[in-house]
Amino acid sequence: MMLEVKTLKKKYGEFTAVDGISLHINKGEVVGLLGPNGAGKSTTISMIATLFKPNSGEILFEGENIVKNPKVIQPFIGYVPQEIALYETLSGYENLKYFGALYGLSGKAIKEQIQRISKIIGIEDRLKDRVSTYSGGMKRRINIGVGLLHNPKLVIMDEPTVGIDPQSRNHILETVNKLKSEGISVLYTSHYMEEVEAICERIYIMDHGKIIADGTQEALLEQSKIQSGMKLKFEKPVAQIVDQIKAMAWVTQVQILDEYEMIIRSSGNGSSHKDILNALMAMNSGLISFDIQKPDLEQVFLHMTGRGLRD
Amino acid sequence: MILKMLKKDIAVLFSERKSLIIFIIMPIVLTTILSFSLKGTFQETGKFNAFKVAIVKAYDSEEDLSYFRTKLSAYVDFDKVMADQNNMDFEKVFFQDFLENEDVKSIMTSVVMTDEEAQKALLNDEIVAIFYLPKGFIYNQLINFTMPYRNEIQIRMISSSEHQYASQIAESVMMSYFDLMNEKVIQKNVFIEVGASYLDTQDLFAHLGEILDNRVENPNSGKMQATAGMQIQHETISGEKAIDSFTYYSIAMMSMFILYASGYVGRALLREKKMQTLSRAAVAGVTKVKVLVSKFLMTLILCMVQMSLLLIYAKIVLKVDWERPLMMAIGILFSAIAVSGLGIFISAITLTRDSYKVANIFETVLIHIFALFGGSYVPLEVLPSIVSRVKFIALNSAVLDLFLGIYKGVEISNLLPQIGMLTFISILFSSLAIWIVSKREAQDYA
Repeated sequence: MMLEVKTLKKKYGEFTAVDGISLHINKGEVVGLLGPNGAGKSTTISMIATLFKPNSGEILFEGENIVKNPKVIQPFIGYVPQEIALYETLSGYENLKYFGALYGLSGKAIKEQIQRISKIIGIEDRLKDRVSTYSGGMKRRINIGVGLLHNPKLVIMDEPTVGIDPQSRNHILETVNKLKSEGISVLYTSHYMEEVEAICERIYIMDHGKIIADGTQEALLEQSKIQSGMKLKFEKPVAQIVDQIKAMAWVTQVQILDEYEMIIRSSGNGSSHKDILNALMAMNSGLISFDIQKPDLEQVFLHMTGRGLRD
Repeated sequence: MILKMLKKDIAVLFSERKSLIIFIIMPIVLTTILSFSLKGTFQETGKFNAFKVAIVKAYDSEEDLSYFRTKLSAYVDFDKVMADQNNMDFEKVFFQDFLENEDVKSIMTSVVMTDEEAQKALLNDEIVAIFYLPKGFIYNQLINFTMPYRNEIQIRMISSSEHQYASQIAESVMMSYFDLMNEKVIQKNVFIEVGASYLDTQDLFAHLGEILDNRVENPNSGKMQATAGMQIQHETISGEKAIDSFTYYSIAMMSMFILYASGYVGRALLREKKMQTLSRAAVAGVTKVKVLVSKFLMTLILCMVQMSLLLIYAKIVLKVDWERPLMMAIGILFSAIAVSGLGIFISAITLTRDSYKVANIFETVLIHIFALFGGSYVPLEVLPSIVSRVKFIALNSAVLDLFLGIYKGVEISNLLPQIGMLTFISILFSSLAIWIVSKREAQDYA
């Protein structure tokens, strides 16, 4: 096991930011940490990155307690903070060189590493320009590059795709997949559920300082027992038929989206969808189209916490 | 690791045009403007609070009187002359009637000292000038008042070049006394009136001819000049160069603007915290003390470069004659050390309070207070004396005194108080900075 966190607790005065959480990351595993603002994600990450000391609990890196001896993990951790942690008046190259130097890289080694990393993050041609002249996406990429310079075993990425264009986001997700293929472990936090679904093998969901669920995406969906739904579109206003639909035996929930659209959830499986469709056809409802909606992490999160990820 | 951080800090500094303007261009512009606009005030008298001078008596009034008695008894009845002429007690006229006059005291107070005491007081800035009343001071005045010719009275004056205003006023005050005396002597009426009272006309003119032929002997030099009167020979402390406005303001502005380096470093550290680059450094294992040491060295280099450029500018453009490169280098080093200590102290407070307020208050309020109290805006002698008494609160005051001393040629042993003060400031503030950040957790600095 690369990293193991045991009953970690962090308090600020009377407020408990992290309340006895436990988690682990295996070698070469990409693990997602999900939670709304104030859930305790950043505090957890900061404790793993040795920036904060917990009030109680243990953090073990390859079996050694880093709370007592932070130097055990520091050379092997790549930290990508949520903010663009770069010197804007320096060039991308100067930034990479400086942070690489803090990890003891110098001379030929650092030049080679800068070349390698700049290829991975796709920013080779702008390295000599000042960071202040970069787009948001380029800054994010350099921000990640800095965390990868010293070949870390564990990379912590705190919301690395906030506020960037789709192209840069895709590039970052590809970078994470590359890291995974090289056997590097990644702890990834994000507000974007689709990112977590795309790259994370396991997910921890945090709320109010606690981990409220964890597992693979499938396991989380299974745990949540959220029903799949059907998005229906009619040629006439849904208000005329909504009562008849609610009266159907299999229907457990009706959500009206607009004048002509609604989502219905049923207690059964695929066969209940077929039964509902048949019933709608029989009642001459004016159905134009339908779309089967499988439950996703967003719904799991909403179901478990009662609020959206971006709330 | 510290050197790598230092290199980065310097690169960041030189990539910020605004900072460079504040550190280099502004002091150059202000030095030039103030030097030219206040040039006259370093040469003319102004408005002052009463200052103090020392009087050193090289004469013996009893001896002078006795000598005068011997000389004059040949011509007149000395005791009778003196008894009838109360205003010929020049000891009393000078010390009581003149120096104790309320108008004079509102400008200048005086105290009689020995030469050694006076020299010490001058070096300690307790007085602004020393007046040496020469041998025969009383005798020569008596001669000048009773004889048709005047003996020369050369008053030696030594002043500190730091007190250009005050010493020139002191000289003027003294001259007013001697001018008055000279004027009376020139009229010769005193002699004639006194002589006419006690000698018959025939004897008077017979003796006058004899006096004209022999001339009255000066007990000091043995010479007398027919046209000589009382004069003041003004010198500054031996070996010292006078301070003009260009010299003064190039040092004064430098001592003020190096304080901005302290504000800069305080601001830079918090900015790094907010950018989370400090977090990155902390994750890489950079300790709080290493961060402070790096910032200390950065301020040191910034300050030394800043001071060197300003001094070079003053030499080349303003023609200020810096003559002691080694002493200047020592002055730059110790000044920069003090500023660096203060800088990391501000950094520590700014950082742990997580607010730019401290650095802002320092830059917008405290630097200007220091500049005023430390003499960077105007020489302290033109301000109320209370300002001089509290100048020690201002770091720039020690820098100013140190460089003025170096410029004037003061020996290094006499500059040790300033060097010691700057070292003390550095040690005190550096220690406080380390103490402040050490008692905080990593998140407070990163």
